[in-house]
Amino acid sequence: MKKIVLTLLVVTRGFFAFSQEAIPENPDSASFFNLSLEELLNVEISVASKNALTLRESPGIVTLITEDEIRNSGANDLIEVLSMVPGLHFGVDVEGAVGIGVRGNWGHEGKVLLLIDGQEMNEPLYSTVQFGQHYPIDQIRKIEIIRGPGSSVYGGNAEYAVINIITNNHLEFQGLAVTTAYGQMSRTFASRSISVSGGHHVGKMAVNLGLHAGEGNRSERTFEDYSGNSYDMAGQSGLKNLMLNFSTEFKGLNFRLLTDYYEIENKDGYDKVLLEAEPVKFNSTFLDLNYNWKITNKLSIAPQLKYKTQSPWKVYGKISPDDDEYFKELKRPSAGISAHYDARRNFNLDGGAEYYLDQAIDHSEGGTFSNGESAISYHNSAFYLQGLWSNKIFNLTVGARYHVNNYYSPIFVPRIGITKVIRKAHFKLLYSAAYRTPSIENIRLGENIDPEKTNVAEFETGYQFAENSYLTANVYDITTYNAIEYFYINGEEGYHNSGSTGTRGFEIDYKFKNSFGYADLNVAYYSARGKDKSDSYRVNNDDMLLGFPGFVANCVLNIKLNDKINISPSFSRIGRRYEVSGVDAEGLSIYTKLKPEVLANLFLGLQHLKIKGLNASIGCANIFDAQSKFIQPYNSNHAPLPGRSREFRIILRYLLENNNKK
Amino acid sequence: MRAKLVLLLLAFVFTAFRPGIDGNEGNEYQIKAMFVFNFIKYVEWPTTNPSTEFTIGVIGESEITEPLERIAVQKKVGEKKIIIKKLALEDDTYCDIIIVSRSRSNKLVMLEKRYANKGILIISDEAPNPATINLITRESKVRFEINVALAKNCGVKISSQLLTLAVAVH
Repeated sequence: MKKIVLTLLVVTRGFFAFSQEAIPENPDSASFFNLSLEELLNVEISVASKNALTLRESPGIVTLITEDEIRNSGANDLIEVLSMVPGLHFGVDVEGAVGIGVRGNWGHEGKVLLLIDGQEMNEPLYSTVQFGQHYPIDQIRKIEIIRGPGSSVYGGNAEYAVINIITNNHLEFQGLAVTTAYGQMSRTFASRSISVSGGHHVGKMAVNLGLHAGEGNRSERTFEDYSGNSYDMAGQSGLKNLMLNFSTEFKGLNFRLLTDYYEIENKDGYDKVLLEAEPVKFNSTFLDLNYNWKITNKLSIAPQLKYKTQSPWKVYGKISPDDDEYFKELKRPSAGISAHYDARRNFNLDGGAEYYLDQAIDHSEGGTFSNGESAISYHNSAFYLQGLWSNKIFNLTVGARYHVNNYYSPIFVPRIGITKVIRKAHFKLLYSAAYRTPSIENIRLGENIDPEKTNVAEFETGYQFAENSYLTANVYDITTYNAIEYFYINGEEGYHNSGSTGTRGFEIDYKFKNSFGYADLNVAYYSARGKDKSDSYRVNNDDMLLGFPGFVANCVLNIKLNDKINISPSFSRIGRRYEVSGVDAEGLSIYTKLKPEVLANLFLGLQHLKIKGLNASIGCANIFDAQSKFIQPYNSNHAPLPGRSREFRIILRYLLENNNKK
Repeated sequence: MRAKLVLLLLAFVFTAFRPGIDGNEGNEYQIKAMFVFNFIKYVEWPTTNPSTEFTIGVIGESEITEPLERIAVQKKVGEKKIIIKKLALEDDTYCDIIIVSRSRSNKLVMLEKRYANKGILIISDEAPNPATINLITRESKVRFEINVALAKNCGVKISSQLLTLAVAVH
């Protein structure tokens, strides 16, 4: 019956879809640009104006980072930017790859969705996203981070959080920007990159192009595995990234081509130092064609066709003698439609449907999937619907998503959010179900694996002390059921649905801004007390989980000395955390509690250096040369991976804006 | 299972829905932003400002900022580039136009004193005690009223043509 209904829907509707924007862009005002004052007097106001909820009203715990904040901070990597957001942490996976955690929970495999201009960066083999000299931050216009579940709209990789990156586009930027950066540690370079982006109008067509080439070293310190083998990471922990992002828009029709090539020079292998360094490649190409069709002022729909191909974790050709080749390719065509309907001034609906086909091919010799063949396909259909009702008492958001796959059980995740602004105070009460879909390799290595589910309850309150002075605080409770966990026992690896896991905690964030600069002070605390702890995440007699600090405090400051010079110090106090430091004689893990550490950065921003449009950021990251490291947040035999030492950095940016439009 | 099927059908019906096409309508603040841009043609500023930029400041949180930023990308004032600045109440920055949000309309008297004779056009949004120009909505359309005395106080000159289009002139 289910299949019949789904087939009927596919056939009659033609195509399926979904929305990707966390906070929708306003409709283009181009149609009003050429109206005279007399004509404007006859234009009616649409009911849509009530729809855009402010951050204080939106049904989510949201952090917004602007391009100015990124630029002023002197950051040159997404890890540096996101580390200052309450509740986000980083840890090492395997083969030199670094991933993200949220509120004490490891989120690297399919639990945190990373979108760049609407393209899903998570690779479908393991659903991971790799960080470290990856993704050009100098082309970012803003980052919206939902520090909570987003599955009801965004699907099976948005279980714990959504990071939505929006790069420059023709509406905000026309002209040319060139950015080059160089960072030096004591023994080797930390990073060097060049980035070019431009936007231009050709008649009614707008085009944007971004190009980025960069490389870096993960560290210059020594990595040592649990067997005592070690290697010098200076010059042997390279990270390379090449990205092209092209988009064009013509009368509401949008096309995007995004290619992302990322390479990790790997010598720390799965659980041991390899004999020789080998490249691990993550190559992706995304194509997106969509049309924003505003049928009336009340109804708009957006049909969308997408295609992506990814070959992550590729170890092929040049490999270390003690490692195995891995070359699997994933192709995902998808089609969908999303819609927005303003039923009334205070009530609107968002909905959509999508269909995508995952086709995986194993190019390595003799490699097979769960069907015993070298290729496999999975069909996915998903529907979501969300309503927002703003009345005099509160804003009520109710939504749900239904996901069907031809291998695992269907999933239904509802959410409800109540928000209220009372003068200078606001309140949010949120309850969301979320899920993680098993990836292709989860299915291959697991037996009868099913999606894991998470329930999250959140309460946020905030107070606006002055025009640009906000304090927000939230408490949350996360419980994940049927958790998909990796195991590696006696040389056998696999995935299984284990019991439950989760954390609870709080986050407090104070933001202040005036003409002299701004400040962002935040703290985050989590505990797994009262939650089940799996063997993979637990540590000795403590309510922390492996790898992630229970308490983190961040401070970001920007002080404008004059119109041309500003100074940006930032500090991060990372609380106590646990690592596995080795294995005892009985083969049991030895847990070590690390002392708190302070990471401090200081950058000077210089505007219009002699030449108009030429700006610079000069400074030092990790001033105190803290011995930072990425700890594996699940117990799987990988020793902590050293991070960067003290780094002196210069970023030059030349901006040639062209406002002579039309 | 029945609930899930109902949800699927709802999603289908919803995406299939096609109401008729309405007339020319737009977001309130898109229209208000275009009004602001159009006012420029009808206002004379003192000629002493040699800047190559035409600056519009916004005080307080207002939905008008984003459409103004879009206009700034697309349009110019003569040869001048349009710059949109978000201002804190205590900012004393020169702008050609200052828009005061609804939430800050209780500070208009103070702002008018601060910017007296500085050649700054102050625009308010649905303010009970309007600024030089006050944007208002009437029967789902944007209208504006003008206070000539305040214009004189600010040091800007408003053309008679604009006065004829205003719903009220004080």
